[in-house]
Amino acid sequence: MAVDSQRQADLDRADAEKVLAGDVAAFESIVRRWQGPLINLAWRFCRDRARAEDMAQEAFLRAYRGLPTWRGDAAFSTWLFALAVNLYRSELRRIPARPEPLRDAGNLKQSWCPEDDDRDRIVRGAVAALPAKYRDAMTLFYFHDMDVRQAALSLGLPEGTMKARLSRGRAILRRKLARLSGVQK
Amino acid sequence: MNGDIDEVLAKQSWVQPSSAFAASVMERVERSVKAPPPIPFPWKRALPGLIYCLGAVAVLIRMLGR
Repeated sequence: MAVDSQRQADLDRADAEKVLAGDVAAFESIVRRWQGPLINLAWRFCRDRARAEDMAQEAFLRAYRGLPTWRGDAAFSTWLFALAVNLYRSELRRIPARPEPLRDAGNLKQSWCPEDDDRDRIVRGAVAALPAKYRDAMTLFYFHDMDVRQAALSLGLPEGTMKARLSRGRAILRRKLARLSGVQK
Repeated sequence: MNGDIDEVLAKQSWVQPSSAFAASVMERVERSVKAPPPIPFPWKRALPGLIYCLGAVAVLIRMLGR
């Protein structure tokens, strides 16, 4: 895994250097390598496939324009994610994601159980309804396979702040979900 | 409940990029490369006028202050 990510970092660096030297076509390798992660990250923010692709496309365009500002002291992927996260957050401030409505208590009474498929939608809806700073922290944490360091780097936050936001976000989420599921007990 | 939250949020499905995605990004990139650079603000021409205006405002403030 570490070898893979080192190889990927080397490929990114080589392609970025080619692009900076004027080889525009080398940017396509970067796009192909990172299109999946960037689209999926956007999708987790907006839950709309078409919009996710538009947002990721804009992120790549900004990455191309901003490539000279990548200093190379951080991994290219870290820089790319930070740029994309900034863009996605401001896009969502401009046009908020359509909320996945939480069911009312009556409906939830029948649907809230671990086996139920609806549980996923309810939990995601509750995350989407969190205040932005907690929502973003949780979105990035799970996107990066629960790697606090990576998530903190993508959000441009110190790890301590990231942990605090995760903890607070989880506490709010637990309260919210307990309130919703409490009706069945 | 923590376990439930982790389970739901960690297992989210993976969206596949559409087949034309990379091509359309590259099309936009190439279009932006070919586009003429933005016209810079003509500071050299505007600067004397701006200095004159600032001076006039300063004189006016002094006159009103008396």
